[in-house]
This record gives sequence, C-alpha cells and structure tokens, in this order.
Amino acid sequence: MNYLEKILACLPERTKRAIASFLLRVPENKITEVRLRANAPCSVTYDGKNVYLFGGDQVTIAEEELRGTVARLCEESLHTYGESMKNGYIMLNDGMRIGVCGRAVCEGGKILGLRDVTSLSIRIPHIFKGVSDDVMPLICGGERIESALFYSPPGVGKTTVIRDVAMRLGGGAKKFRVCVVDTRSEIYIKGFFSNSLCDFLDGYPKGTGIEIATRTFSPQVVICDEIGDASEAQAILSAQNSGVPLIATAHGADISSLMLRPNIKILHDAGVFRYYIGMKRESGSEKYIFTVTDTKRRLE
Amino acid sequence: MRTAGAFLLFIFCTFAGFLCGNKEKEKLCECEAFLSLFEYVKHQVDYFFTPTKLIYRNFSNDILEKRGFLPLLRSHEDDEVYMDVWRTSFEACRKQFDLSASQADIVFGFGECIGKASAALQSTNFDYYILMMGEEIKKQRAENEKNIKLYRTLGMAAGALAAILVI
Amino acid sequence: MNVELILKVAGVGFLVTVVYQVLSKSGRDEQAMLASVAGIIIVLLMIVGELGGLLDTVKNVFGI
Repeated sequence: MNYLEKILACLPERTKRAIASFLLRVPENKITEVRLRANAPCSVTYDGKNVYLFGGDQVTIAEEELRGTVARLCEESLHTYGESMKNGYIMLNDGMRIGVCGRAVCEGGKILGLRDVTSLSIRIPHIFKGVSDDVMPLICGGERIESALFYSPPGVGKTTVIRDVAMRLGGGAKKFRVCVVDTRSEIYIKGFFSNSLCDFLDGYPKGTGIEIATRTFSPQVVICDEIGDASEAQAILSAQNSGVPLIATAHGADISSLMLRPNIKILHDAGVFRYYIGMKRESGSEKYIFTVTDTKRRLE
Repeated sequence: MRTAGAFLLFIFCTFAGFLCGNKEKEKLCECEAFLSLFEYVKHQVDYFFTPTKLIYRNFSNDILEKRGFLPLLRSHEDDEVYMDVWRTSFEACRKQFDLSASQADIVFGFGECIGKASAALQSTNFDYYILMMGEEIKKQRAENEKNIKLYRTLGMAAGALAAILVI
Repeated sequence: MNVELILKVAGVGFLVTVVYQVLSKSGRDEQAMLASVAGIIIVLLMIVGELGGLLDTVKNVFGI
C-alpha cells in the first residue's frame, strides 16, 4: 500500500471521499502535503499550491475524529510517540512525517505534553531517484569525495536530494562508507537503502552524531541535513581535522543570504565546503536546477 | 439393559455436573490470565513506550495461547493499517472463553484504552481496569467455593434420580 | 406389593431432600423450592397408576 492509501485508510469517511475525488483530478505523485484541522477547512498542497478540500462544501474534521485519525496513523501507539509529539512531529516507520500541533500543557516554559491535537500536517515523501545526477560527478568525480553544502528555500526538496546523494555514494558503482546523521529521522526510507553501505545515526543530535560517526565508524563521507546551529558548527570543525568530507544542507535563498548566517560563515572561513550548490525546482517539474559555486575556482 | 441405561444416565449427569464445575474454574483461570496480560501491557506502555503492535511479542500465557487470543493479536503485526486489533481479536475468539458478560466487558474496555492517549493517561485507565478485574477475580473465587461443590452434587443427584426412574 | 415402586419413591424422596439441603445451604432458596416441587411432581407421576388402582378398589369395596 502506498503512503496516500495508508493515510486514506486512517481518515474519517467524509474526508476520505473528498480526497479520493480530488485524486481523480490530480496525479497522486504531485501531492506533497495533506493538512487536517479540527473544525476548520482541510487542505491539500500540490505543486506548491494550497487547495481546500471540497465534498459538497468545505470538508472539516471534528476534534474527536482528528484524535481517532492520529491514533490510527500512529498504529494506536500514541505513547510511543509521546516525546516526539512534544517536539511537534510524529515520524512513522515508512518515512511519512506528520506535523502535530494543538493545545500544549506547559510547566516552567517546557512542554509537558499535548492535551489536544488541533492540526495535522501529513507530509508525503516522494522517492525520486536520480535527482542528484547532475551534481554527482562534482562530488565524487575525482579520487576523493568533495564536501558540498546544498542550500535552498524551505520546501524545495533538499532532503530528497541528499537522500539520493547518500544512496548513490553508498550504493553506486564505487561504494563508499557513508554515515548519515539523520537527526529528524527524515532521510531514511525503508527499502531505499537496501543496497548501499550507508549507516544511519537516527535521532542523534547533529553535533554529537557527527562526532560519533567520525570517531567510531571511519566513514569516507558524512551526510547530514539542515546545519546552521552553533554547536553543530563546532562539531563539524573538529570533524574536519580528521579529514572526513561532509555533505550537508542549509536554508538559504541565495548564496549571499547563506553567508550572512554566522555559523555558516564560520564554516566557510575554515574552508569546510568546496561546493555550494543552490537548488531550485521549476513548478510542475520534478527536475532540479542546481547552481554550483566552486570555492576553489573562486580563490583562483 | 435397563441397568446399563440407568448406569449410563448416572455417569452422564455426574459428568455434566463436573463439567459445570470446571467451567467455573476455567472462568477464574481466564480472568487471572487476563489480569497478568493487563499488567504486562501497562508495564510495556508505562516504562518502555513499546509500540502497541509489538507489545504482545514477548508475552506468553498458556491459557490465552490455547484460546487463540494471543496468536490473533500477534498476527496483526504486519497490517498495513493497524486498527482496533484488540477488539476484533477478542470478538473472534469470544466463544472459546468461558467468561461472563461483565468480565468480557472489562476485557473490551481495557482494549479500548490501549494506545489512544498519552502514556500517563493510559496508565490511569489501565489501573482502573486492573482494579475491576481484580474485583471480579475475588468475586469469582468466592462464588467458586460454593458453586463447584454444588454443581457436582446436583449432577450426581440428577444422575441418581434418572437412574432410579429408569430402573 | 410393589416393593420396587416403594423403593423408587423412597429413593426419589431421599435425593430431593439432599438437593434441597445443598441448594438452600448455598443460598439458592428459590431453586431449592423448585427442586422439591419437581420431586413431588415426579413422585406423583410415578404413583398415578397406583392411585387409580386404589380408587378402583375403594369403588369395588363399597360397591359404588
């Protein structure tokens, strides 16, 4: 069963019918997100556009129905996801990421738990193989793997690209030992990495994860997602002393705004990354357009 | 001929009486088995946050295995959509159990609580059902003391009566 | 003299007594009552033939 079918099976009848009729008009693989809101209109995001769900009139979900949907999506194990729900998301085994928000119960500024769920944002992962074809020669063209930083505005698909890079490096013609520090458990998808030499540090904080990976797994490349924190910058700098190349992603509309971020600047000054690769996606197309900045050439 | 028939009748009625007594004993054993399952589930949810579908992997209990409840629960591990497993499994093998209606209600009620709320809330709900089941077990034990002997005696008496009438 | 019948009635009576005692001891008084009524009915059915014979004899003795 694919992701959308699994989600549909967990939804209440009315919403299920509305989405099903919506699917008749739009191809399934364009849908990137489904949002369910308690007592408010539900919506679907496809091709970057947000669309209300209609089933006669706007489709809404009652709070109890939403609670039931969450329970079913979690395979009736809400207690297992208690910690991650406090952090605002539920990560299911097969790669579906569900953002959760509602009424929080706080004490002393910390969230103790979620009293009610009022909104669900179900992100549907799409496995695109071969998206990183254009940049792979740059990264592993020579003997060594070159460090690279992928940047783009949020929602373009950095995780998709980095997933593909990991798979290609670990399972391509020349297999490298790849360590993936998957802090938010977003990179791994069941079945995608079955033929590759990738080791996953699932849920490790990035700084610690990079440290552990470099020290104990002797990787030939470390891959992580969304760097930009001060502690991560320090860990990356110390990992560089061991000479392990790093491929990472960061938020940034263009290279100048990327360099404005102090932690990225630190890494740039230390010469951590050779390539800065900007990403864009034409609306309606699955192909990525990469803008490569080669630091070596800049220096020349 | 008649003696043989009378003798058979007597044996049959005595046997029926003993069977009724055994049913009551089985009821008690089943309740105790469920109680240990309840406590195991509570422990798994409270301390280990085990995903619901994996909870039953490492639990074994002769009675629940024989009745088919545990195997049914385990069979749903690979379901595409995991929903209402406890309720459907228990309904499927309800006939195998000798539980009374109130005892079955407790089992159903317990199942409704699993995995539907935070660990702390589930724990509170579980405590309630564990308490109820404990009460049922106490009641059943007290009743059994009276009833088992009663059923056996009645069985034998009915058998003797039938035998006398036939002879 | 139908000794067999007398023994049967005695047996039934004995068993009904036992059942009555056991049932009322475990608190099931209504069921005890039912059992004794049932016993009475069974005995009556058993001796209904003899009762008929008794009435006939009485008729013959008094020439009615």
